[in-house]
Amino acid sequence: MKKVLLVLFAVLVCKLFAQSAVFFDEILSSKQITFSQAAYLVFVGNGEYQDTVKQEVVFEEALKRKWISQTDKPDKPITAAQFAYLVMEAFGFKGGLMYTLFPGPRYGFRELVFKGLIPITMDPQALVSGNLALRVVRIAAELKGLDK
Amino acid sequence: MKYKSISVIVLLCLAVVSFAGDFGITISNTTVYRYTADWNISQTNRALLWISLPITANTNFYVSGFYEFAGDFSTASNAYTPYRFDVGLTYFSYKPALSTSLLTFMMGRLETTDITASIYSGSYDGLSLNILTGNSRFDIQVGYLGLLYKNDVLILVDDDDIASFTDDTKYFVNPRLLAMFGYRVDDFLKGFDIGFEFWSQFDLDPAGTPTHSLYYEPRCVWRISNYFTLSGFGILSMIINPEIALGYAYGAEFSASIPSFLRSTLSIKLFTSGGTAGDFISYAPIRLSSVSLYASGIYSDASAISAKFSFAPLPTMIFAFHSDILLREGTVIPAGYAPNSESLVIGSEYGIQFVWQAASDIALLAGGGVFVPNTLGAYPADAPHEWQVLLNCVLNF
Repeated sequence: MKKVLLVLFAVLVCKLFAQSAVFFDEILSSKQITFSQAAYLVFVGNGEYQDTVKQEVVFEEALKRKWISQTDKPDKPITAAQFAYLVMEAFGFKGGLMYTLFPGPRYGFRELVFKGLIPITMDPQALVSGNLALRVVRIAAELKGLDK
Repeated sequence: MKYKSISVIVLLCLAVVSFAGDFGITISNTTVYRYTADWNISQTNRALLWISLPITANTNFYVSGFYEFAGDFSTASNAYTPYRFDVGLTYFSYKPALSTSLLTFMMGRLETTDITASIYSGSYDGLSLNILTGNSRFDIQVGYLGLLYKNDVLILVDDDDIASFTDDTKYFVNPRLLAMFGYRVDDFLKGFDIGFEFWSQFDLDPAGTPTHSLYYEPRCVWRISNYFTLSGFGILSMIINPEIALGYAYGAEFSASIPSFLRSTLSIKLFTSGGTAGDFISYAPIRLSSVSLYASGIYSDASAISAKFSFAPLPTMIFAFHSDILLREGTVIPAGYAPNSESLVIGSEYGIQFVWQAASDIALLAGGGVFVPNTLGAYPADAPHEWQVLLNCVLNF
């Protein structure tokens, strides 16, 4: 049953990503995605890069845009708050008062909870599973009309 | 002392930021304007600091506390409390990973309410156990009520409570033990939910006459279709002081939702807070609650039949219009009501509400209405209308 669900989920996101099944297997089975995987998902999800792009390239791009901190490493697991900030910036979501004044992971996380992309019970410092990351990117793309 | 408190708060915030978890500040402003024969404004401002600290994957510690300014202003008098510090929701929670059911254990200052908020709604200091298995849900809560601010919890079950409430030297409500057990089955039959709750409070105040009370509240909900819902409940109460006296309350609601038309909902509701009649005394819940929305002093011996229409032009914005008629139920009459009146109609109420979640961190609520007393044989012809306007704004940092 779990495998069937995973396959169905992969089919749902295939409009966004035409990447190899190996990558999705890796992401879906991952209990904690890394900064470079997260950067890949958001940049391919928002259509800025093709799915053939290397993870190192999009990681550097996110670093250049200051969406991730200089101290973050490509292979380091990303937290929910850091991932939320990446999604907010990559998909150009507008935030509330506090996010507008102080854009960053703290208020980015609250924005995605408010928009219903991240469960309200989730801790901002929790690590992000591949399953959740794909779901968040898929809904973000839908909200921005990028899935059509 | 003040610097010590601030230092502790700053250190706690830094500790949270350094390790894990989250914290925030919620600032709220509530202004209530009332006008009957004279005007009155109640002003409340609150700044609440909260910290959420996950200990393990299954356990969490949450602590909150607030500063509050509260004042009442009118032409007759001005009274205000420039500062009040108190503990908000504060708990240790444990949610073990179970395969087929969900269990939540909580301990600390918790919040609770009965199914229809007709017995008790508010805080308590104690334990809570909640089990969800299949379509069944069990709730057990036990706690102490003696460490709560009397104006927040409004526990006015007997004369000792009223004496304590009017005594300005007392801060806490009279000590009581609160206990509840609830059981609910969703989809007992297709679209039909049933459940019941037992509530009790035991007076622990060594002074005065102890007044204990027990409540039984069954409820059912019938989701007729995706658009129509019918629900009903009843409450049988027993006050022990030390003689036993029974009371009752009941209600029913029919609501029709039309999601395609501005997410609108129309509901018709009946709520009766039983009165003194025959073997029954006036219904006395643990927390004082009013049958009416705008009329003052109608807590029991009355029924409200209300109609409400709400619509949401935006997913984050709701407008609601409501109207109700208040009827007598029992022998206790509201203040100002003609003692020998045969009229059953107390009056009618009309109101409007507006709720807007302007952004993720800003919420606005505005509402107002009027109580129109029945001057055709119930109140004197010159009985004034009771007006009320409420403005509330919440900002989350």
